[in-house]
Amino acid sequence: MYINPDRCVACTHCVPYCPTGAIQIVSEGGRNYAKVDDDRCVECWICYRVARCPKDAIEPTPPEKMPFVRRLKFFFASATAVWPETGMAGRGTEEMKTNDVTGRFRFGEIGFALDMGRPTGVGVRVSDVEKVCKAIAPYVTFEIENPVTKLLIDPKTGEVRNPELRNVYLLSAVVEAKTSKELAPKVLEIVRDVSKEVNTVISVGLVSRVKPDGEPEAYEVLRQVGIEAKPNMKVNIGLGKPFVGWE
Amino acid sequence: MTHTLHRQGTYEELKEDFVVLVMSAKGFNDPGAAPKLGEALKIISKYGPVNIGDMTQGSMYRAGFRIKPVERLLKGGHDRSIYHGVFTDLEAVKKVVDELKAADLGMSVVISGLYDEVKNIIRPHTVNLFLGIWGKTELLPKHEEVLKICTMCGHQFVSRNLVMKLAQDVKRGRISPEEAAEVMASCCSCGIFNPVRAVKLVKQLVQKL
Repeated sequence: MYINPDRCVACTHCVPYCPTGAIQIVSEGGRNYAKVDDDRCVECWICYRVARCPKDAIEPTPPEKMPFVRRLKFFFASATAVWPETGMAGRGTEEMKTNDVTGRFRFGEIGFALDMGRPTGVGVRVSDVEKVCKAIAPYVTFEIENPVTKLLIDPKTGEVRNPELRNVYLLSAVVEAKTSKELAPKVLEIVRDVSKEVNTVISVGLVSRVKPDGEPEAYEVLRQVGIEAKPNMKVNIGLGKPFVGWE
Repeated sequence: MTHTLHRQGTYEELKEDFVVLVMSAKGFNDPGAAPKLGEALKIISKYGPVNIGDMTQGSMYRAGFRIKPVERLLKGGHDRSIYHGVFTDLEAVKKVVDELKAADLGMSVVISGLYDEVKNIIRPHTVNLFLGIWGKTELLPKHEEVLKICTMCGHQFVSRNLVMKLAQDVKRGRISPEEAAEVMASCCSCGIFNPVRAVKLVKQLVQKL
């Protein structure tokens, strides 16, 4: 994102809207204006889309004209933009939301949705995404349709495909993977350990089928590692068709 | 895409915060899904949602969508629209679910909220559990109200600095808590922000400033 210093009057209106605090008022040549920190800016466009500068000083670059790193930031920040490389929209996949139709997660399988950099604009460097992916790679299958898997890491090793991207700062990156119910406790313990080594936060989610008695199968995994789920969940209620069935 | 999962709050607070989402499955039932999704949005809208939206178009708080938001969202709807409705009570969610079930639209429906409450109104098929925030949690906001407000937009478009600024404005009498919540809701692009809950949290936050 670019703020035109010739138009900006340093009114500070846009400053608090930035989720990552990338906009600062600077003094230069005897005048004040708002400046965007290119590293910290994640190209979410909230300043442009919502804050609405009274002087029209905020000037976004269309994604198709952005250099690759800025496009990467843009697509990892957008909720809706369709990735030209993958044809997908958003930061993740449909994961369990359509599992009543796709059958992506079956009984005996546990899905992982590791939301790195969320919440509250903490953000994440690609190097930290790599750290987590490398740690769990031997025990999981990464979701191939996920942008992290498609664009950032080698799904076999978890290593970043392009080392030059390691320092890129993103608003968030969702690592999606799945494993067997038997291996899931080990993966959770690895995530718990590696989360102490990253310079960000991870919102940790598990995906699981629900047994006929109403208990999510993942509870068996959580009991083994002594972790409790929060009381709120996302619940697919099985109304999609063609329906994969309850078993 | 786990944008409705990470909402923070006590059990009592979350009793007033449910999100209903309806979508098609790409490559399975998306061709011709638009009218079915539109029908689902109409059903959601009948039972008093405090916010509605389409992840691909924006929410009712988006500029230009404030007047007749349902009609506008329907007009721009398509086979891959992802419609949301936010509700402050489970009874309304139950009515929505009952009507969606009777309509038999064949679209996937996901309810985000307290599991023990949701499973009492309908059989769950698959769940996404939330295990909390791990890692460097000292990077999170100091006030729990800020965290609770910000996590009502899972895409992180409601900035912690904006929440603090608006709370300061409320404290100084420049705006009302309702106006603050409306500005916050306008940042959330898909319409899952709960402005009613935000008003309560803003009032609590103001007491601490």
